[in-house]
Amino acid sequence: MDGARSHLAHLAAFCAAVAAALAGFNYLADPYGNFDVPRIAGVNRLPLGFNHRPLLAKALAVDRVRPASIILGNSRAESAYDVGHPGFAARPAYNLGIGGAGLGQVRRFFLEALAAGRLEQVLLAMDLTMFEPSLAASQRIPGAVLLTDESGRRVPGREWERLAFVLLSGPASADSWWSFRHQRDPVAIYLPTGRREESYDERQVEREGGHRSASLHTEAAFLATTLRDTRSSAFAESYRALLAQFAEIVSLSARHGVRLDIVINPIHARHSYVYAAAGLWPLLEQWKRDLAAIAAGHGVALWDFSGVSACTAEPMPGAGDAATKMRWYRESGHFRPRLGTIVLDRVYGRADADCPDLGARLEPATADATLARQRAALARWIAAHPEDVAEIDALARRYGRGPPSALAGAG
Amino acid sequence: MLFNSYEFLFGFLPVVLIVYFALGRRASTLAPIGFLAAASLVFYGWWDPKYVALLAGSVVFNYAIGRGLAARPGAALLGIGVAGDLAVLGTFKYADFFAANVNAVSGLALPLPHLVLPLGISFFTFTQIAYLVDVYRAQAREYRFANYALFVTFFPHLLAGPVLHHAEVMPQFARRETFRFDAGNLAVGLTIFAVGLFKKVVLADGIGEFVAPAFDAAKNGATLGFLPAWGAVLAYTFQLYFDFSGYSDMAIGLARMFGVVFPANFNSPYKAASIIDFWRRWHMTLSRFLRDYLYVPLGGGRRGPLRRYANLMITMLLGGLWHGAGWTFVIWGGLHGAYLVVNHGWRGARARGLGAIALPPGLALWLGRLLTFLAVAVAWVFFRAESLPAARSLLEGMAGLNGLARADPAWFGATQLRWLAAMFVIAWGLPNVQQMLHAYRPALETYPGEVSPPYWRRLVWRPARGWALVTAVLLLAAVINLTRVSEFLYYQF
Repeated sequence: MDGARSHLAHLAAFCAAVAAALAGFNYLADPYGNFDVPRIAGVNRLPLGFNHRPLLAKALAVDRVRPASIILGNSRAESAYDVGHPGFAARPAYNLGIGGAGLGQVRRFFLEALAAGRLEQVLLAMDLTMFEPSLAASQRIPGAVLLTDESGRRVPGREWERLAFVLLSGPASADSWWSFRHQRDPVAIYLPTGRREESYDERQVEREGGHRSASLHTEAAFLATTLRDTRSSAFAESYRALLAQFAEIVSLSARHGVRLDIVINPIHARHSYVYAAAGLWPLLEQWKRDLAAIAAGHGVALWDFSGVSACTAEPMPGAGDAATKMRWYRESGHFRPRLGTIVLDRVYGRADADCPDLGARLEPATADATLARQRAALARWIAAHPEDVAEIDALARRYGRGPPSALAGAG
Repeated sequence: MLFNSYEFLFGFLPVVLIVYFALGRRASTLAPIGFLAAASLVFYGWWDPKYVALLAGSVVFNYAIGRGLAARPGAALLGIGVAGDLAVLGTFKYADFFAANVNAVSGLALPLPHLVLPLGISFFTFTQIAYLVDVYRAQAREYRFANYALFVTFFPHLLAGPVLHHAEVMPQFARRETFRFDAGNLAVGLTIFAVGLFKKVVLADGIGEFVAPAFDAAKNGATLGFLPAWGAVLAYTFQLYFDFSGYSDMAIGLARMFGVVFPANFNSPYKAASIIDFWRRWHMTLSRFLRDYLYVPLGGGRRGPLRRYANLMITMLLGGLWHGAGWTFVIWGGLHGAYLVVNHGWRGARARGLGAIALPPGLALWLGRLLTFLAVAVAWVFFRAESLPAARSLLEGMAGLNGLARADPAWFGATQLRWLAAMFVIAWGLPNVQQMLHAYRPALETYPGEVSPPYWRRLVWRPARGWALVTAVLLLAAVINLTRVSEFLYYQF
């Protein structure tokens, strides 16, 4: 074929040229703040890759920050717990919470932070949603950016893979472009400490029409997609595996002398009722017992803040009321940093006058009594909030959930 | 090993190409053929080495039967060969399905063996059955074991086709020039491969993100509205097409790099104006296999329309079952069988002057195209759904029984709409790779004369700087996205 050799030469030259141009662009745009490049307003002043792909950005941040204290968990952890709290004695501290994270991702971040070499303190913020089996696939972190392999061993030469990924991968290129495009009107969703900016999420609530409307949105998403198949053998298998991963985090912390505190997040009473309406209450209680048994086995403190209390039962504004602001919650699934601070005060033994009935230590010996009190508190809330209950029941029916859990033994 | 992996692209492929052409300089062809067969076994064993023995055993068994048939053609020996192949395929692929259905009907509790399906078993089994029948019909002969082993294991087609005829591939390995490096073959092969890799990694994997949430929700009992249901089904319709046609392009491009021309496997199937036309454009080498080795031996259309319809239904039901051991696949095949029966019936009626509707040719073409596309998309619901209730849930949503948009926003949104629009433009508006490289014989004609020449000169490929740049961009766009490694959908069949 005429011209085939020069065609191949051109092809090779173009491949090299396009690759070099792409690497140069990604280096200058630096969407994750990885390189020591000059910061230019309108070009790369803010590393907005965090906004676009926080999972990836935070995975890359672990090696850069080498945190001594970390917060692990899902969106509740990343938006409401502040590493500036005095309870985090070891510095630097970084919030490695990730929206929608499953326990698999949380474990990987824990192993990464451990491999980075100076981890001393961990706050692990838990929800049953982190045991949703599909999260393992939906939030996979590219292996090339992780310091460790699946078993937590450091991978030799991984630094070069990470560099190649940041300079020449599709996701990094998309993030560079995204970061570059949004520099002129930057909305930095993430603070340098890894926590989500509260005002950004507040605007999201306003866009959704206020607290009740935003709560309905979150509750619908939960009922539509989360923990649907809990009676299957596949779920049982996944649950056992995730529980083993939880136990691994606890035991590795103990082995490496890392202080670990575990909290079950303070979801709103409405959201507690969502679990009951979806027929998940027995699973929720079993899950708490399982966590308590593992934590107690290693002398680790487990706090449960998810029960109905004065603060977690904060009244929700009425339908169509977009003006009233809630004090403790953005919506029923997510609490504000000020409630997160009270949680941290409890865990780290600091005095706090607000929410006196919030949270309790959960230990195997007292778990039955604690869970019975929570059941009774929820039953009282149900009796006192028929409109909220009817709203959630309708959602549960729409998404084919139920039958509702009988809160046996309540009261 | 996956074509869309770094170890294949930057390790296996260049090493095998270099060694193959280095060995090709020798006088004997045995060395490059033996090397390529051995390399193909490494390629296969990368997934799980223990299944190499199964593949090798299958090759030895069929080679021996083939030699026997060549020496003394006999239906009994052919029957032993075909039965042996089907027994292995049936054991690995259908044992669970069979036992579960026996248990359901009889109340027994037969254990389910839960055997892992060896990669490519459906394909290498069909390739070898076709070979045995061809030998029996005196249309093929292979005396050298290395040649036969390469015919079956040649890595570009080993895992997901195209389903080859011995007579169309092995004569190419008998020619000396096949073993000599040819820059033209490499240029053409690289271009076809780049298009295929782009289809798989960028298009199929990109649109694929919109498939699982809604199908999983339907599986879990959620109620889907009209838009989310159609959004997911159309996304899957395009995901499957770009995934499998991308794989086929890669296979054809890889073979061409080694100097071998494969038969075409796709010819813009969503441009088909009827279901009959669709099956001449979709997975063409499988359609050809089912026609030549099942439909025609059953009697084809030679014994009247009723017998033809029965044969079509049998062929498509078995074709469905070949794709997967489940009732959803059987229903998918049955639906296509019914479509074909209606299509042939309609043609027969039109030939007798019944039901003639005078439409402008362009309008008739697009109406036919749209109707065919929708029928195919509806059938894909059964192909993808993990259970009959899940399929029913999606079909109810598509029929509008659950309202327009009842869903979580995760199931349908503006991004998905933009993706779907782009997919329609590509599938309906652009020429396929066979057309773009028409002048360079990119593939053998599976159905002679059916790949039309390109209609837009600017999209005709030639070895020039502009096309080198386009190919480089396609290659890089795909390679930089390999970080989200995903298997080909057809590997599971």
